[in-house]
Amino acid sequence: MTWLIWQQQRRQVIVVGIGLVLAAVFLGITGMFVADSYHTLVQHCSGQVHGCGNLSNAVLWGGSRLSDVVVAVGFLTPFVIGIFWGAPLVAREFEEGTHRLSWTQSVSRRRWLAVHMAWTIGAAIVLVAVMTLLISWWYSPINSAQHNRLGSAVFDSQGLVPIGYTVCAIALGVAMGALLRRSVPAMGMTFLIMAVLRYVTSEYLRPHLLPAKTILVSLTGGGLGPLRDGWVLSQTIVNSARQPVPLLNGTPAPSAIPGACNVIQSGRQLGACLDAHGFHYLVAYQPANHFWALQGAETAMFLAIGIVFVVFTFWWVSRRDA
Amino acid sequence: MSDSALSSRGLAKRYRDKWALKSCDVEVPVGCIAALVGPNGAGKTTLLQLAAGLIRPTSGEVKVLGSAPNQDPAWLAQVGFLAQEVPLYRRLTGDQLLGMGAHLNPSWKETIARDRLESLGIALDKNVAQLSGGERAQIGLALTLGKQPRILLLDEPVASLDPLARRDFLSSLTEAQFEAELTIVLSSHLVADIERVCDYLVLLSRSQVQLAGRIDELLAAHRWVSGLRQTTEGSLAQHEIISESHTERQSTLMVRLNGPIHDPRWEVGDVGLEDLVLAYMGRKGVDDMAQTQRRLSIVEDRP
Repeated sequence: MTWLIWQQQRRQVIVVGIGLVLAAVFLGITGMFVADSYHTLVQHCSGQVHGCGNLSNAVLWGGSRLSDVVVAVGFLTPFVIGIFWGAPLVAREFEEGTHRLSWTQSVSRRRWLAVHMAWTIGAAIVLVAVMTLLISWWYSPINSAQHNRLGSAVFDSQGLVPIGYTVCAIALGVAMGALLRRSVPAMGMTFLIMAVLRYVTSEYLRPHLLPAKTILVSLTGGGLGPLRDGWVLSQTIVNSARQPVPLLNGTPAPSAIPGACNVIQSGRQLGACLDAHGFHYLVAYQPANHFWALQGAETAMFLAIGIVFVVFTFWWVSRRDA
Repeated sequence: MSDSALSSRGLAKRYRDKWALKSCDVEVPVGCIAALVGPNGAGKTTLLQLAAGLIRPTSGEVKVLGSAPNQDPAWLAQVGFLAQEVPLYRRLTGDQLLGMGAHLNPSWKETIARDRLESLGIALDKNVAQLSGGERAQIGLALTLGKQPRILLLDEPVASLDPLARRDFLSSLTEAQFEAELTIVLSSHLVADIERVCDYLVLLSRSQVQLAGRIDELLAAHRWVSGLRQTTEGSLAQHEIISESHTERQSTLMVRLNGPIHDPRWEVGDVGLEDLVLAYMGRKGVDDMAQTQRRLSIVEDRP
């Protein structure tokens, strides 16, 4: 079986391999430039804590969309693999009628499916792991300069999660192919379902995969502390009793604040007044050091979803008419 | 049952709301070349795919080599199946496909497949997409023969071939059968082809088996009879009328004999396979017959 898969796929393996090498060369060269400009920057603005945040973006991001492209490639690769490797795996056999050839050899359908999926997933993991390492290395100076990397596409293109997404996307693609028996609809459904899964995860689940931390922050700024590179999930204004204060046009409602502060018009003075009366921002956030724990949890979640798709596919393929 | 290569009992298959096969009882003895004939849509492909285990029956059972089709590699190894459109991985060469056969079938015998294709002069180093339909059919057959099955299920194997390729293919079959003591079940709607190679007939029509048996026995059991029209009544009552046609004076009938025909007013002649097949295909089903207006009084008179 492995022999057959190699005969059928070697051209594609070679093309993808060459593509990967070219991408590595490209990222290697541009990545050195990024790292170099980062070091220059760090030397340049050492001691100017405030200026560096903006400056780093200006130097590293400004002028080129390259880092966007790099992140996008890391973000989209699992989709592409699920769509082009997963969806046609069974669907193409149905479309070309070759399931009547391959499933009448002396090999059970289960074994056929197991070997095909194992090689596809294995190859995809190798590909994505190499790409993710390259991207993470390329991006690491920007990571250091640009603090929050939990709540954005940057999270999706680094660490472990690309592997989780990829395995899940392949399993989903194969399941859709087995179900729909046509490649193109299976590809479409794979993209759609995967997009929904990832959107829901990053928008609604990821903030809660680990218990969020909360912190009280002064209204008049300063002392951001761990928030500087954390992922802020929500912030509310609370009074000295730690109860949320109702807002009116974005500032605390007059009825909810002490009379002494009510007469003040200027925002800054109002802040100072409220500060003095024990008002704070209550901020819920995921600290930066949750990065790997969140990566691990999300990867495990996608692997689990992938296993559900795999189990479904085996059940469906061995029970349904071929 | 034990010396049937393929047997079915009450076998039925429904696709959504359409019955492709209904209460099908078939016995194909070991070692024969059986033709599965019938009009398009009669259920030939369904029966073969049920036997190969590609699809599952809605009800009833089918047994191939003594067991219901399953995913046990040992059973799969004994059953060769060639689908109608001869599916092959089109981007692979003949050599690669033979390699596939070798890797996926423990009982594979390379020489059986390779010698056959080489003696036919088929290029094994070209992608099969570049080969003709006849050459692809030969590769498909070689792949199924190479695994040394005990039963070969072929769905319309010659449908897409020109007459010359068709003859080559069918003689390949008889050779293979002779060499390997195979049972072969092949579907076709061309009687000329099966007449040349088959010794057993299963006739499917309207999703049901209309006729089955050894071809020589079937031919021996049927006769054309013709005579004056008015003589039809009564004198053939013990025989089964398969078909009839009438002119003003003359009646011509095909009968399934149930004993000899003594009445000297009938002229009796042998039937050919094609006549036999056409007569049964054109015959109304039992259900239809109850409703039809065209019933002969002879049919009504039968006990």
